[in-house]
Amino acid sequence: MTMQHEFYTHIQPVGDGTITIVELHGYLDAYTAPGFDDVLAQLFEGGQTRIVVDCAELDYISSAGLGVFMGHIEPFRSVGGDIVLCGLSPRITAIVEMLGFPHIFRICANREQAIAAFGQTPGTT
Amino acid sequence: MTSPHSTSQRLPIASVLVAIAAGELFHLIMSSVLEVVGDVVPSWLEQLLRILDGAVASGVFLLLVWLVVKLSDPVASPPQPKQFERWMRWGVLGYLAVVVFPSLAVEGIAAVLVHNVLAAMLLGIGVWSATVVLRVVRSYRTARTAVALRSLGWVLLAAVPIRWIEVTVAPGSLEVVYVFQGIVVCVLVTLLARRRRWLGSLSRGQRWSLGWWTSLVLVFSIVAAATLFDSSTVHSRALRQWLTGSELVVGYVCLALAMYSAIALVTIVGSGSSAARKTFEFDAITFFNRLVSEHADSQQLYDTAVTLAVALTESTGAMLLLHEGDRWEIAALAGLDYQRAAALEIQSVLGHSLSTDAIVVPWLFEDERFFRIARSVESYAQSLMLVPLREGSISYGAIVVVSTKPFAFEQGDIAALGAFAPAVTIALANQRLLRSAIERERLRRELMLGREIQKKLLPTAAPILNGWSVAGWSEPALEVGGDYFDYFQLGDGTACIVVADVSGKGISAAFYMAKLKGICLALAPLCRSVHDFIVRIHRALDGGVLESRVYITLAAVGITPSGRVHIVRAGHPPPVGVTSDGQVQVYSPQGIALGMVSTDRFVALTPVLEIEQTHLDTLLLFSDGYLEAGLPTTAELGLDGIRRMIQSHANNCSAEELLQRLKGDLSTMLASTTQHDDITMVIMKRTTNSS
Repeated sequence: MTMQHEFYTHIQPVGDGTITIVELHGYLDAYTAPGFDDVLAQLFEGGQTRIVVDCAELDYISSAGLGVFMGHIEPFRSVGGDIVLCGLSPRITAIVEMLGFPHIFRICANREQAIAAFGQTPGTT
Repeated sequence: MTSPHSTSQRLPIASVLVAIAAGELFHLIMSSVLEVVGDVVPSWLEQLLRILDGAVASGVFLLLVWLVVKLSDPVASPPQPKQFERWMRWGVLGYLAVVVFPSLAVEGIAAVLVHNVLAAMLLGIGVWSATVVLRVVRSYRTARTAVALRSLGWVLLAAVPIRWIEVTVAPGSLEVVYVFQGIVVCVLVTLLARRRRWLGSLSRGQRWSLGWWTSLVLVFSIVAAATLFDSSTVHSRALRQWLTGSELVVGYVCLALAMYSAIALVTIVGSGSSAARKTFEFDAITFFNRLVSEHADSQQLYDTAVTLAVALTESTGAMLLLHEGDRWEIAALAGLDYQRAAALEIQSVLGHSLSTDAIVVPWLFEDERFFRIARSVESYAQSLMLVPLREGSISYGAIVVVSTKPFAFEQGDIAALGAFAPAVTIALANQRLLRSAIERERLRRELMLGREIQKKLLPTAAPILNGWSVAGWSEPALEVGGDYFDYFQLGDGTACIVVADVSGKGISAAFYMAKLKGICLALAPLCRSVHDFIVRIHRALDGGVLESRVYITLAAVGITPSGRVHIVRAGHPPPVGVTSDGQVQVYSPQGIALGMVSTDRFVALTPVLEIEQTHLDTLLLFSDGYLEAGLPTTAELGLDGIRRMIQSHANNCSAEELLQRLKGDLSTMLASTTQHDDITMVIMKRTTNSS
């Protein structure tokens, strides 16, 4: 049986409150992906559609974890929102680049750039 | 016995006792005075003194009635057979003292003294008898107890004025009224004694001893009543002189006790012995456990449980309710049909307490929860008892027994069913474990079957395709996986080697993998190049075949009939090549995974790479499971690791040999960790010199 790893998210609004930062911590794999899926679904339902996903504390992401982004990007964009990724480690950067993710998602070096990508000046968080 | 109000009651009861004693003393003095000076004082004075004496006696009488009511207040725990027997023993002593009280032929003051003592004793035994009967019937009360008790009280008290009228107006004329009163008392006591099941379950010794003392009380109380109703006896006279009519009241009280004793005696004698019941309980539990150990089927166990429950509780019907999720289901019935059992609406009536509390409903008509349906179920359920089947915090269900008779169950009966319940609970727990084990085993077999089927979807042969020998291997992390590799001959004669990986893992990935194989098989003969092939695959998947969160990465190598090598990398880990002079090369053309963008964008983002090196000797295609091998406990193998491995092994071996070497290294690596993702490898080795 595969070991189960810890994964949790930390959510905070920034800027004028229309942007939400979702920090990912730990292992995002087939076991923990449904939890992250719920987080994005709830943000969408709550009208929070401008999302910055900060992966600085993310240790691992599997294809199931990446699939969560794929599953949500269309609905978010259809209402004028977006999901911007930032803080990717070199390893995770290699994975998402191999996959072609940069053709679909905006990927920024850090949180400030990601917030700026929404056309806002990054405020203090 | 303590009552929660004992401290607040102590004072009034003590004061009342003092008042009663004072009243008695007054009567003693007054009757002595009248005895001595009765002849010398004027008759009006004597009359006045007698009226005063009567008033004091009436007051004392009322205080005695108050005392009886107070003493018989029901307490938290209703009387048990042991306590009842104690009462009976004291009663025998009291009655014995009263009945055999020597009717001394004394005169004058001595006679007054003797009569006073006798009257006091009779009043005492009256108070005691009334208290015992009241205590029992008020503890085991029904909805009609209050009405019956009030009626009994009025009938008894009415004896005083009736007797007074008779004595003063027409002596000996109202005997028929007294007989009528006696009958009414007996009928009312019978009504009040409906709940006597608590006297039912006794050991053999207890039955004998309680039966003995109760029959003595029965005899003595009848004798006492008869003595008091006969106005010529010294007992009757003694009370009559104290207060006219009180002898009848005490007589009726004795009669009431006699009646209750008779009913109790019938119950005691008529009930089964608890020893026999205990033996039966033991036999039932043993029998049931044997059935469990013999792995009887569920329904047989359930049916046996309810049948035994009926026998154990001497009830007329039983049902086994099982807790399935948040629903309750009737699993077995005895002495009831489904319709009748359902009509009891046990779940909706008892609700949450169904799984927590043992419940006795002595009479459905008198229970506020069941009152509504009591009439409709009257013919088969008048009383019921429920014992939950639970172990720790898990509720498995409940056993419910019903009886066509009211008051068939008392709190004590819970013990009988309660002793049996754990055996049933354990059987249910075992059944549940067994069921889930069977279900797990079934799922495991299904998954193993799925694994076998999936293995058959992958090529087993190591063919030679357009001058390259090929060997492939795939191992899912779970029973089934989403990795896929295959070899095709395209329409233009190009040999195409494909390695693909569906995102996610397990069954959902396996289904998409199978679908992908079908699409590849259908499209391969129609395609004119490897790029055409992959684009057509994408188009086939584009129309909502994949869920939005599922994508497929794929690497394909095409060997044209002329020997040119083409690579398409759709988001997949890049193929690694080794040239004949030992140079390792990673081929990572641009590309995006299947199912992420529209086919038009896919075409734009995923070009084909033609390999220029003509001395390319070996190609390795693999899934990310190989790239990440080692995770999560150690460092991943990574692209560099793969390069090193292939470089050290690629020389002078066939595709199959190279595959075995790489697998050997991999298994060494995986020995210290678990395989966390599906792993696939396909080795291509050039067999002929390049053209």
